[in-house]
Amino acid sequence: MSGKLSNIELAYVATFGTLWGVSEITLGFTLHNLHVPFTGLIQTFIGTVIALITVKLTNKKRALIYTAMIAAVQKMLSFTTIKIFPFIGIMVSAAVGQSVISVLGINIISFVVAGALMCGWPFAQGLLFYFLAYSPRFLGIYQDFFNKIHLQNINIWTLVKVIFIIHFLIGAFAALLAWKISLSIKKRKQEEQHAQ
Amino acid sequence: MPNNYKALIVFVVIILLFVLDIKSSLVLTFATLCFLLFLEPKLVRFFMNPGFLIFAVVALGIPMLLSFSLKDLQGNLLVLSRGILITLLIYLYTKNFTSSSTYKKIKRFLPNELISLISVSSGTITVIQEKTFKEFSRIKSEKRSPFGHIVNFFYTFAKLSETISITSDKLNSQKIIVLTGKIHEGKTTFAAKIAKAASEAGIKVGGILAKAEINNGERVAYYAEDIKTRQTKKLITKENVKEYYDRFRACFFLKDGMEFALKCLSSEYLQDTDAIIIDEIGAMELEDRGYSKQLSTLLNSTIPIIILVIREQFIEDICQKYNITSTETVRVGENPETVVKIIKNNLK
Repeated sequence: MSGKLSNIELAYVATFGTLWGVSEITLGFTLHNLHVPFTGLIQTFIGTVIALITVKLTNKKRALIYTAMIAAVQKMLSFTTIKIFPFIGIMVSAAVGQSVISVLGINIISFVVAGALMCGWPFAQGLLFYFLAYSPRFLGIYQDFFNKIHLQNINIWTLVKVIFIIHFLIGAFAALLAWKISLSIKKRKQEEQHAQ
Repeated sequence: MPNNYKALIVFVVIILLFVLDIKSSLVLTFATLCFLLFLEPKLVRFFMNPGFLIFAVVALGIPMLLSFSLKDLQGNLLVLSRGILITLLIYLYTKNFTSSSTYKKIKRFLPNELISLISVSSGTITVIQEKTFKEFSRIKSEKRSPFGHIVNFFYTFAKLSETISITSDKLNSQKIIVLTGKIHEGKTTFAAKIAKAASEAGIKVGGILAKAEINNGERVAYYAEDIKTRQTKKLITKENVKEYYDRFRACFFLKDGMEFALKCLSSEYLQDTDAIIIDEIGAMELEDRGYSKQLSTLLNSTIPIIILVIREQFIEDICQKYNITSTETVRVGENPETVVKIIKNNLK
């Protein structure tokens, strides 16, 4: 499961990485311009599915970070200017998933944990950005807003936790989907080999 | 129209959308979309797939239902069309991704493994886009469960990866031999000797030779000879003719001859050959004319040996233009058997 990637594994990484990159460039850009909420989550969901499928099909742990690297470089260079934030976003999210897969190996549990954490990252990145830009007190502004519209019962920290849980659940679903798709592809390939 | 120009038009339109009022913007967007769909018919299939149509209806319908206002509908329509235009811009731009100046600047700082991954991936971008369009259009015709469609989608790309891997294995083993010499030094005669020696050694040779017709010591015409069948056709004349395929300086490329030569160099025609000879590659190919298209296709094919006849002064430029990194150079006058040996060694 370790060692250099063979030619066929590299081809898998390149193809699936490009697929992720193309989805980031085209769909991501459209969703972003349409101001669709949770664009980051939708894109990370797609990316997580693609990256985890690559890991399972190649049976190589490091395939995840390589696939993300392809997608991130394509996204970064996809316009006349260099966009660094999407690059960082994709790479950090992949690094989180990669560390889980590296420690726990390639199995359904590691996939679920990696998927959950990868999909949780876009929300965490947003929060981190607000923390750095407006200090931790920015959550108080939201709390004041809820109080003003007579929704005092809503605690902002509870809301943050609920959104995080939703992200984790969606990530876990992405991982399960990737696992099931990879098994189906492997089964179909075996059936084709037997038929030949 | 080159993709860069199409991308530039879309870019200008996007900029104009920020300046114009809603109605003019919508008309302009609609006109640009029609223009681009006319130039890129493949995109029609993409925009007509059920997934995109549902997405468009939801993107327009939900804000509309929330406000019930015509002005909002116009605004949302504009946002949607701008999104589509930007998507198109990216689509057109990514087609030329690795040739962009930004990428060339960044390339220096990237590790080699990543560069090779990127070059494979950029080569597959168009294939991936086409396959994606095909898969989307198949959704309408094939009855499967949604999960079945998703598996099918990824399965197509798994198969594509295997094909790429096999092709790149064969591409890596492709040997390029450059036969070179000065002007009128006997490059074609030398190439003909190699073709004969290789055929006698049992190697399947294809390609073309450009044999000159000499009149009073002057080269007045050239004939294209198909190495496979020995058939010939007049390719170039220096006499003034009304109808011709292309003109380069004093040479008129005749339509029949050029079509014959291009057919002889097509990858389908050369499918079962071990080695091909292209006489000759030069200034025209540097301007994307002559055998340029055929050369690019053959360099990306699985034909094991490609022998290029190139005048000394053009070798460097040709190698740079066609991304030829490793070659074996043989000068006019060397023993043809040496080349046959190289071919045989690479066929093993």
